[in-house]
Amino acid sequence: MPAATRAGVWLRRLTSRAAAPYWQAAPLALVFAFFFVLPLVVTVIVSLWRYNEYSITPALVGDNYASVFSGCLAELPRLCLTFKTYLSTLKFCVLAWALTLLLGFTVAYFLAFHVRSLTAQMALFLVCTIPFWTSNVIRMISWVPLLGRNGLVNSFLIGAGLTREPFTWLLFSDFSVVLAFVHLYTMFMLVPIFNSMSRIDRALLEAARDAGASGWQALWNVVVPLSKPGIVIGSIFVVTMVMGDYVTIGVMGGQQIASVGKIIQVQLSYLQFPLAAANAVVLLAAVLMVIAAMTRLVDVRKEL
Amino acid sequence: MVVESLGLHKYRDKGNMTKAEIDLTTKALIEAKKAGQFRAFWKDFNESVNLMASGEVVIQSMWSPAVTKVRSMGVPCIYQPLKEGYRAWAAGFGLPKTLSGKKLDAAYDFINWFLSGWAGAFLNRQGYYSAVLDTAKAQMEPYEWAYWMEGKPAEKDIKAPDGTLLEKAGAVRDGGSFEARMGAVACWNAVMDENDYMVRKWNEFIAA
Repeated sequence: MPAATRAGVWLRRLTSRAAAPYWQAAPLALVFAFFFVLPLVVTVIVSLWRYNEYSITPALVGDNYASVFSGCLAELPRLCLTFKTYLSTLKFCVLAWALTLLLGFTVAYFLAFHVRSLTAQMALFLVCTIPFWTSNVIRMISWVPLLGRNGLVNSFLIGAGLTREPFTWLLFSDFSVVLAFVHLYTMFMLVPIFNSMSRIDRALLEAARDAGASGWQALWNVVVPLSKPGIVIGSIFVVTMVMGDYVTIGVMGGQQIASVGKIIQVQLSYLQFPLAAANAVVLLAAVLMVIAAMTRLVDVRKEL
Repeated sequence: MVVESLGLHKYRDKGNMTKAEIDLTTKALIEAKKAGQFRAFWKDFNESVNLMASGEVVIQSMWSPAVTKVRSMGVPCIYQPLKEGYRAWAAGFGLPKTLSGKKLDAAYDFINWFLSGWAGAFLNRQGYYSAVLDTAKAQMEPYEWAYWMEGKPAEKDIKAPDGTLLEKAGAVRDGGSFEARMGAVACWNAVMDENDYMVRKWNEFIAA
């Protein structure tokens, strides 16, 4: 076939109807390839390089991964650094997830089923977003004057004669970290659940009532199963954000509570890029496993 | 310095510890952490100032300008020299070998300017020490030099580089003269030979 006709065939193929979806998907695919796939590939590549204090050199070694897991088997049953850190991160995940789920579900339920008018629903929904008008960091730092040794809560408790010494566990503790997580992330749980709930056909609830179900039974057997996609989507948001977090844990934990993100950050600050990259890859694998487990419980795509 | 003070171990060089010494130090740190010694750690100037000014911590390792900042907020704060000595650090310029021609000349011009006195006097008035003291001295008033470098009582009010009042006349610098302070450096902050191991143990300390 002469070159001119071959080009013509290609041109026809590219402009044909069948090619249209690919063109439509191309812009987003390109953005993803450039800002997501490429950095990820680079991270994986760098995680196999060698480094010292002053330089990093291309190589293909597993030293960094060995270093991440060093002592993990030998020191059993004592937990090695990596396991201990993942356990602590997982603890924050579970606490933040359970509390945001409880709060998010309750608020979403109230908004979806108890507020009758659409206008009131929208107004209250907007009220929930008010904290998001300021930045993440400001929202965290504002806890400090409230919970600190000389903060509002402690001054009030001492003033009211309820305690003599200020409570120091209010700030720079597990408590303050979880509190900040709940404050920051409840919205990410609330929105998808609210979205799922507002699609529930009200006739189903009436039918449950007519069939003799109590309020709790209707909630558990009708509302919860139908809100599952929202719950799973919200859970994915919260869990992934807590797993990778180091800023909240750093600021609210007084920089002395471990998290996987914190370890990566310390390594980056000492220019140990390959080691940090290896840690990031391990973290990514862990998060993907958690998400896989969650989507296994509920097939989000089918339910949407 | 704490470990030495407790009589647990005498380091050959605290700025370049062996693995065993890092282990020992980390163990001591973890014990102190478990006993509730540490309230919070800081990573930048303002964090250290806020921790002190809000009363979250009552004693901490701070940079001298940070102490000055706390004081200027009306919170009494003292820079207390320790009998164990000072922890010291130094910063210098490094030129990449890729520099050449005009860029290299410009870099040297900058360094020459930096060492020519004005910047040195600025650093000295912040409580740091500049690399070339003679040129800095020429840019400072004799009473300033006497206060900052010779450890003598201030003849006049001492002002920060931005003009805010630091000390009233009569005050003496903590730790005394340049010789007295630099002669008492117990430890230089440096990248250790066992840097990798040190970072790992630091992460273990955070996780403890």
